[in-house]
Amino acid sequence: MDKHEFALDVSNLTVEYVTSDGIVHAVNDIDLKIPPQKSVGLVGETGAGKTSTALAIMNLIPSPPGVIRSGKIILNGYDVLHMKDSELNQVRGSEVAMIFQDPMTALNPVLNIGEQIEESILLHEDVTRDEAHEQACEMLEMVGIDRSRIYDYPHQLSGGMKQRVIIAIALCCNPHLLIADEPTTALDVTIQAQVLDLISNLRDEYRTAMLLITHDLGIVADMCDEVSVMYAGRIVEHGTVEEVFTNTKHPYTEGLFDSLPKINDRKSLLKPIIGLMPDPTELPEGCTFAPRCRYAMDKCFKRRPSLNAISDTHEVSCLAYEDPVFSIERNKHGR
Amino acid sequence: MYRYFLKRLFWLIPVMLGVSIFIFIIMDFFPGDAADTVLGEAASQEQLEEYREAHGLNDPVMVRYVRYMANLLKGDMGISYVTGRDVFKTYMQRLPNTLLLAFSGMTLAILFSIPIGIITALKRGTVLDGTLMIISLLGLSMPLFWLGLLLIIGFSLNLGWFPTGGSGDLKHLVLPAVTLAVAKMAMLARTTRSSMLEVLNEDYIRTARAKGVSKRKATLKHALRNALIPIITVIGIELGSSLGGSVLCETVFSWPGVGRLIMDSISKRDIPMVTGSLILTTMLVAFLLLVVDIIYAFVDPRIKAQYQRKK
Amino acid sequence: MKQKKTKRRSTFSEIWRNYRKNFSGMLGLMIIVGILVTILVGNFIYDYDTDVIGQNISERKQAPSSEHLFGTDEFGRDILTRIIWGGRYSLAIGLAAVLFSSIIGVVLGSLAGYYGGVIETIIMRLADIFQAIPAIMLGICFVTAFGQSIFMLTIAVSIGAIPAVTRVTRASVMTVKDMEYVEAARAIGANNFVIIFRHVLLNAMSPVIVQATLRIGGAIVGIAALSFIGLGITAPTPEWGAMLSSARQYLRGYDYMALYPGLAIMVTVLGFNLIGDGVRDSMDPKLKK
Repeated sequence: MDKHEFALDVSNLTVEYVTSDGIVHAVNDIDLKIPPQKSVGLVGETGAGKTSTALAIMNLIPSPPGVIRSGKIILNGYDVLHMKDSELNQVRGSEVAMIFQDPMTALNPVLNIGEQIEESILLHEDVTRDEAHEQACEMLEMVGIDRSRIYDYPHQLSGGMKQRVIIAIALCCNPHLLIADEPTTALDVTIQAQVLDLISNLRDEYRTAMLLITHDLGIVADMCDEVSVMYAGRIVEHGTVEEVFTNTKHPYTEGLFDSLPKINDRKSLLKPIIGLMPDPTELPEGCTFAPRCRYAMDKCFKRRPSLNAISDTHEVSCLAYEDPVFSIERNKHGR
Repeated sequence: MYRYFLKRLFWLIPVMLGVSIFIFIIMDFFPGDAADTVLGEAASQEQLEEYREAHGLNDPVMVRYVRYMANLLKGDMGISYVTGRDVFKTYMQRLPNTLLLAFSGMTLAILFSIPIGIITALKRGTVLDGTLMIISLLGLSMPLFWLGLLLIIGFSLNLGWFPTGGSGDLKHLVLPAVTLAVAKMAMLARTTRSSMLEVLNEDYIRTARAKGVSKRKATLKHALRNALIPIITVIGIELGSSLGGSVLCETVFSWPGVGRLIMDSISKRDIPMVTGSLILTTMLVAFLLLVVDIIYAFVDPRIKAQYQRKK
Repeated sequence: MKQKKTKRRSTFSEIWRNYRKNFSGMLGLMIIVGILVTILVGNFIYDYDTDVIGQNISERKQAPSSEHLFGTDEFGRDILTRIIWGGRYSLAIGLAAVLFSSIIGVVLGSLAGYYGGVIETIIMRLADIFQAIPAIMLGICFVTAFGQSIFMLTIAVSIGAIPAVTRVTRASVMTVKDMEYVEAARAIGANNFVIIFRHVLLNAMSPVIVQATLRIGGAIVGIAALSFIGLGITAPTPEWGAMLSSARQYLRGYDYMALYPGLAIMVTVLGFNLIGDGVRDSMDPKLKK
């Protein structure tokens, strides 16, 4: 089954939302590849287009107002954007599954959690109701909830438990790709680590590829093999976690690192990135990061950079590297 | 949970006491009294006074009220001044007609309006949605008694399909039931639509779709059940209003139900009949709303949980 | 004080700006303005004694024609004239009834919501009792007991709505009263009266206003319904419901008599319902999509 080169191969994806206030350019011409069983982090600020990317992969962009303007999404061999609804329903849940940001609202309040897990199993596997129920119980135990709670309703569970149930729903049909959209943002810090551990253990067990959407670089370092940094609907830097963390290239990525507290230099000040993300209805003409970039030159405001390879695996989208001696501050001090 | 509903049921007692006091007081302001009604205009002043004294009509309101309630507890709601028949029995004879009309009208309304509400929510912003919503707004703005007259003109007088009024076989039921249904339909379709629109945007619908649940099933299984609470509320209120407000529809179609009984009794100043009928109708409506509350708990486990905690 | 005033005006103009964009709301407003202008003009053209109630036996029961656009009734009176004249009763009583129920309901509701305790219990239990009696029955009994004067009719139509207004106001006041700006007012020593009316009510009003506009249509149907069953405004005064009531005897052969008064009710109620929807949408930004 895993004969395909990539678990996920997205190319030239553009997503827009047509609203009365103008066209929101949420995702602009991005490429994203995830090899089988690998984990890729998608990092960026709120509003960078991360969730839109995820929903596009499921072909679940709410329409109207959302439109997938162009692009190709191949999901383990399935061409997601050119499939009939009935075929898509077969792919969703079995080939690709998704964990959502807010566990509080992601479960249906009037159905018990057993029903919600079983539903997915019954849709994708040829089993009887009893077998599905048994599988659901096992799944529940797998995510660390006692099987006696299978008839509980969502309102009877804590936030962390709800997220566990959602993980159970996502993994019960053994998908090739798991999309985790900020899976721990809405949880308490102490629960976050547990849930991340759970995801990472289950992923190893099921050999699932993962797209992990987050704004937390620490989580990426822990959980991912590769990372794509997204800004205003574009990927500005992509590489292995090692490359992006130790040999940071893009000024925006640098800004993200600078705004993190440093554990071994507690006296250093946090350096937030000055300014705000551009209005996605009116993206600037040149590099979208130029207005906030401390290295910005005239050309940055006029010309739009493209992703250029630095090594086999490392790409960056920045005009400054047209000057071969350019280096960002972070790399000058030798880490 | 049962204890909660028992509590609610007991709570009806003080409410009904208040209702009966209010009704009793307002009846006291009705022009004319039993003596006038029973003895007629020919009676002399002395005869009237004698009758009032003999039947305790000169006692203060509260004394008469206590006497009435004491009898009520014994199951005696008094005797009609006009027909001389037992109030409770007369009411119960008329009640099935009113219930039949209210429930058939409501069933008709539910059958049409909920699908309309769901379709318009799914097709929001399309021509179909716009057209159906304009029609429902017209239905909502149309006085029920006028719609009744129009239906009589169209289907009874011009086409001759149905009788203009009265009761008997199914044919008599059609026009009044449709009249009642149209008014309720407009309200219900609009509620269903807005409630569905709200629910369809919820995260759990997206979760369901991400599992591979089809759009159709996500709408009917996941969304509709969540949208049902406001819909049931409106059904309850509308059913209550078609029982309590049955007088209009029954007047237009000369339907021999409770509403007409009350109207006739009021015009004849048949005070025991009016008092008894009003108390019984109010009780019926209050009980109906209690049943609606019970249904909530079956639809939404969160509400059930609340009740259990309140125990 | 001055600042407060400008702030309030700007919320109003904000709502109006939203409202102007609302197509159906503007349509409703146009319908109602049209009706008001017609009634006003009719007041000067027609004479009550001759045109509106004056009988003209020679022209009885004439079907609609160029001379009598809506036809004439059983006494030879022009139905269009009577409908235009009758509009004043529906509109005046409808609006007055909503105003009355809103004022009483808001006062009771804010007392209950602000003070809580015994006051709240008494008010809300009374609301329970009044809400239990079907509204139209309440109106019918009220009119029978106290007579069919315009004042009593207004109360009869509005009385059934008071418990609902009380509930909405109470709920709204309860959410607002613990807000920080109310705490702040209390901290600087404003008295309860000032706090309720200046700080709490002004901020709690929007659901009440929305409810009130949506109820005008219902009140107009209410007065027509009372007249229709013979307990409202009575002949020869040309109230729409009363006109329908007398037209009932002539359905066979003279159905136009029952057509136009009902149409007048429907268009008016439609206008107010459209306005109500528009007001709700423009006051509640959450609903904007």
